[in-house]
Amino acid sequence: MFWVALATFFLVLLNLPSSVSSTLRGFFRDSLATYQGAVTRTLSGLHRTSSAVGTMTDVVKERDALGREAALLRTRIRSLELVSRENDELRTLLKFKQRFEFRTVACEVIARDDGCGWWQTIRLDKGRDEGIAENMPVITPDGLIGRTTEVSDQACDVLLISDRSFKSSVRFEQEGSYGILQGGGVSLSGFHSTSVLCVPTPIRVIYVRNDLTIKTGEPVVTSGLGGVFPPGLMVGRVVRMGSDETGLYQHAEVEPAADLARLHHVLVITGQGNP
Amino acid sequence: MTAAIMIFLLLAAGLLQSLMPAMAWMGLSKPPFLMAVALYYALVHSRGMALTSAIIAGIIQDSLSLFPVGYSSLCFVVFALAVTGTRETLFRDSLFTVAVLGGLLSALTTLGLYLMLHVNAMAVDMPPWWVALKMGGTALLGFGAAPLVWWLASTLECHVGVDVTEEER
Repeated sequence: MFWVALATFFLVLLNLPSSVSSTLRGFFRDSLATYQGAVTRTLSGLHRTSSAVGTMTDVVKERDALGREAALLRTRIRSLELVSRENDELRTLLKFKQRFEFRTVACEVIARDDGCGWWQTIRLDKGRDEGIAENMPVITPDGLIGRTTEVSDQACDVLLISDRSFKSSVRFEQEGSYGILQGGGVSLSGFHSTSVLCVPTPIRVIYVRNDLTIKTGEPVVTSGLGGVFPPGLMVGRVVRMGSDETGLYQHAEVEPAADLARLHHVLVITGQGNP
Repeated sequence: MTAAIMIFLLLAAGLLQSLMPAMAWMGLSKPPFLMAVALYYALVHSRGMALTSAIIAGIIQDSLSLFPVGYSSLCFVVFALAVTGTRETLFRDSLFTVAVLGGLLSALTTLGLYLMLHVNAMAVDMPPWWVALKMGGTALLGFGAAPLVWWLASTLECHVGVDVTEEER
């Protein structure tokens, strides 16, 4: 009887209608998102404080020359520099948002990577309440970084372009030809040990026609095909070209335009037209 | 009280697991705190509590990632049943046993999840070396995380007066 009940439970659980499973996931995502945001902000504050304290420690070593007042001033300057940098970042984002021809929602990254490290994702602090839905493009002023996957009321997950399961139609801006963008995943060399979102393997554009000559540095933009990404969003630049295993096509290795390892604030494109 | 502590431990484990950085040289593995909580309940508490914690831990883990709901729960429940069925033959009060079980079950959970993804054609371009690396990474992290969670959970239960030996065994 116990085994039958257990088997039935799992049959039901594994085959839940998407609306129910989405609600279930949303409940836990929203429950944790508040704390994730709080912890992320606290850690960020601690980082800022420790930077300031680090600076102060250095100054204390030279206190005979500099004195207590200088230490405090430098600490304050250091704090202000960090605040200023954050302001610059937000201002850039705001300027970009104002001249951008799409409706966007500015979000803060509250967690990196999924819960068990199978996918390269980030979690944002806004969700359905702000008009975000699944499969919306996510960008920074530098370029495309991914698309929303799971969305709940107050948070959403974004699948990054570096993930192996990410695919999208793209276009070489100057050449005009098309290809399929595919995340490169991660490799085992050339990255720092505890990096979460490093992109050591450049993203790839596959199924590029063999007869085309594409130069290094050529910009790659979204093509607009497929309906998820609007045309013309900057993705990255070609690093090198190569031939695929079959010899029928060539592929391009592309350096992402956005720095995926340092994402703090991003924009989710929610629709056409500036509000 | 036991249930409240279980929910608290599971949510704290989920939060911690989501915030910990994944290490690329370990196959982007994260410390399996949720699995460690489920293991604690499987080793110490009744079968009902063990199954409940395994199911909730699995759902939280799936909510934190892109796994379909139920994948992690299925893995955790299988291991919870295996552990509750064999725990009388184990030195279950030894931290070393907990560490070894944590490492072993973490690796097997990774393998189980990969197989389920593979069966459902969701394991897109995940090369076998990557899965092997991930299994090794989670085993290593599970080896460290399980005793830590065990110690924290048992200390917490001891402080709030949950008598596991009398009530659950």
